[in-house]
Amino acid sequence: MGRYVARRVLKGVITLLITITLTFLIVRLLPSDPALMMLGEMFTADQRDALIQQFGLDKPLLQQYFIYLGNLFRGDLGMSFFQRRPVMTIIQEKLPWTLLLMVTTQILTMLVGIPLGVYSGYKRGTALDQVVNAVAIFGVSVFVPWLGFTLLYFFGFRLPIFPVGGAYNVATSGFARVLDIGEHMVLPVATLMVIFLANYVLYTRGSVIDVMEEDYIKTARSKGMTERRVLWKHASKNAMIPTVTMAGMMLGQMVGGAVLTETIYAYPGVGRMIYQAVGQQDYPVLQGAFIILALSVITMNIITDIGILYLDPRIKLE
Amino acid sequence: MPEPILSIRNLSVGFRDTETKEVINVLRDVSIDVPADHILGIVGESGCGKSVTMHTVMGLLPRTAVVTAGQIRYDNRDLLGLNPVQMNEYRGKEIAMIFQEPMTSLNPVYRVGDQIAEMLELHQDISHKDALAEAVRKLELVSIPSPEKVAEQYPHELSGGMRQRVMIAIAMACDPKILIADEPTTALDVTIQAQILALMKALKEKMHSSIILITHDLGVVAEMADEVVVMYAGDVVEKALVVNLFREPSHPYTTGLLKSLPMLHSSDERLYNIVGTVPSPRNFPEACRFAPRCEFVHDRCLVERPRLVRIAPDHEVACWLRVAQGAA
Repeated sequence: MGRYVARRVLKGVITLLITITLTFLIVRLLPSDPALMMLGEMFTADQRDALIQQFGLDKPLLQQYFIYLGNLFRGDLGMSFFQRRPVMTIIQEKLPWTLLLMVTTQILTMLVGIPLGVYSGYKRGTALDQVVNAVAIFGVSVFVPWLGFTLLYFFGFRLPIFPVGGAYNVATSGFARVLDIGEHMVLPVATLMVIFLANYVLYTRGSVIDVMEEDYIKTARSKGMTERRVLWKHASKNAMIPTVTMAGMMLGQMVGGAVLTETIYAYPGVGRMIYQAVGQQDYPVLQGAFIILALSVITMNIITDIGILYLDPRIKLE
Repeated sequence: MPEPILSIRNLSVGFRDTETKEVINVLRDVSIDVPADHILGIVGESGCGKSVTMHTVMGLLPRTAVVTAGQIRYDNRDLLGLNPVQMNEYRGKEIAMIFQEPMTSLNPVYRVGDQIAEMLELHQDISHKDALAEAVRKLELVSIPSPEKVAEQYPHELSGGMRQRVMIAIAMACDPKILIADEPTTALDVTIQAQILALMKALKEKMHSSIILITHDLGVVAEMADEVVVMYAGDVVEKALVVNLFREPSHPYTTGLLKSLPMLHSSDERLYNIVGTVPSPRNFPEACRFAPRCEFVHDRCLVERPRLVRIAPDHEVACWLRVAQGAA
């Protein structure tokens, strides 16, 4: 077990290193002039050279790479061209909001999606199953921005139950602030949930249908237990294995979802930061965001893999 | 024959076609008695209704199955009339079952010990800790080496033979009166087969339970059973004590089965085989269902259905060739 986790972490570190290298190369391959970005249109050749030197851009590529790695290691992601602040500071402000949104969405999706999928798979073909199925198909096919704007229009504007943007109202404090943060999360979380919930339901439903045909389900029934126990004890745990695998693979998609959702709801997270950085051609911010996101996805994948280890004893530890 | 503990009376079971909603009959008036402390073999080809009969007893029929007639008497009750909660008082506890595929019959995500303990927890007032300790003793009972270790293992860590032993340990955990074994050794190596059969027989002797052994292997029947029921296409075609059946097979189907056994000193070059295959239930003939494959078929077989008649004490057969004998 310890060795498996260690190997999995090592694999994660290698993946991260590759991501970092690719990010480093991509940014250097971009056609734009960093000095132009930093200084704007008005500068002299001397100023430009000084800046290039200051940023070490006159050094050989390999050397730049190692300096870059060294900086990264110290938590230095460079300076934002646009905001003139360390990228690390900006990300530190934005990341907690995105994490809050993502973790809430994930937990709610699992709590609702898995039982719904299990039940609808068990009740396959009934009216309930057909309704769940239809809604789920809608969920996987819906265009996120459309859904976002629709919710925003109806529940933010026409029927103003929820705030239309931001993460909280600065006028609040204490417990009222907590409530306010929750209120601001409702629409973004709802938008993200529709997509992820649909995937959870469809995967779980599909695997429950398969699992119910297995011989060990017949064994369970022959032991003289209630159908409820057959379903929730003997079928569900087996049916969860593909669902959790899917959840791990969908984490990347979640990043895309964050960019769209946070932008629509003006939510101050990493997703919206990426959207803005693209517009401002703020390469250090983008570079930093990619690395932090890669780190999050890799970490979540490791956690998923360990989760599957608990679900499925057949996975070889060696 | 002693008083039966399980008595299947005129059981007819069909399957509803999911498209046309029409019920296609499979089992036709199946009557089987199982006395206490007795091994009953049920033989027949694949698709002859052996498993459907026993799945009916266990309440394990799929949703599309319809019991159209009959009774299953056990403990002075008709098991077919019980609701699921009442049924669970018998299922596992009084009548237990093991299956053909030991590789897939155990739940892959739970430890062996827990799966045995679950049976005890379902039917006895016992703590999980005590049930686990008891599970180790059950593993010992089915001659599993280092039972403490195996109890901690998952099914995929065990061989097929070991898994079938575990299945037996689960089935026998609550000392059931009847063990239904549905082709328990078909998926196993010959040497392991013999061990599993010997184990079942030894346990039966020890606990005085009855075994219903579903098999297509007449060798297994000869070895194990006291009495044999031969089924063909959802009909019981012959019932006899083992000795009688092998000495005087009376239904052409039984004769055919016996002739198809490879013999060491047989002079024939080619092995005998019964012509054709079991038809699909949709195409079961109305009268004698074996008629299309029978060497001795005559007019009556095609229009009138033969019923089981007693041709000797402890020997019944459903065939027009034997009617005169039965009536005599």
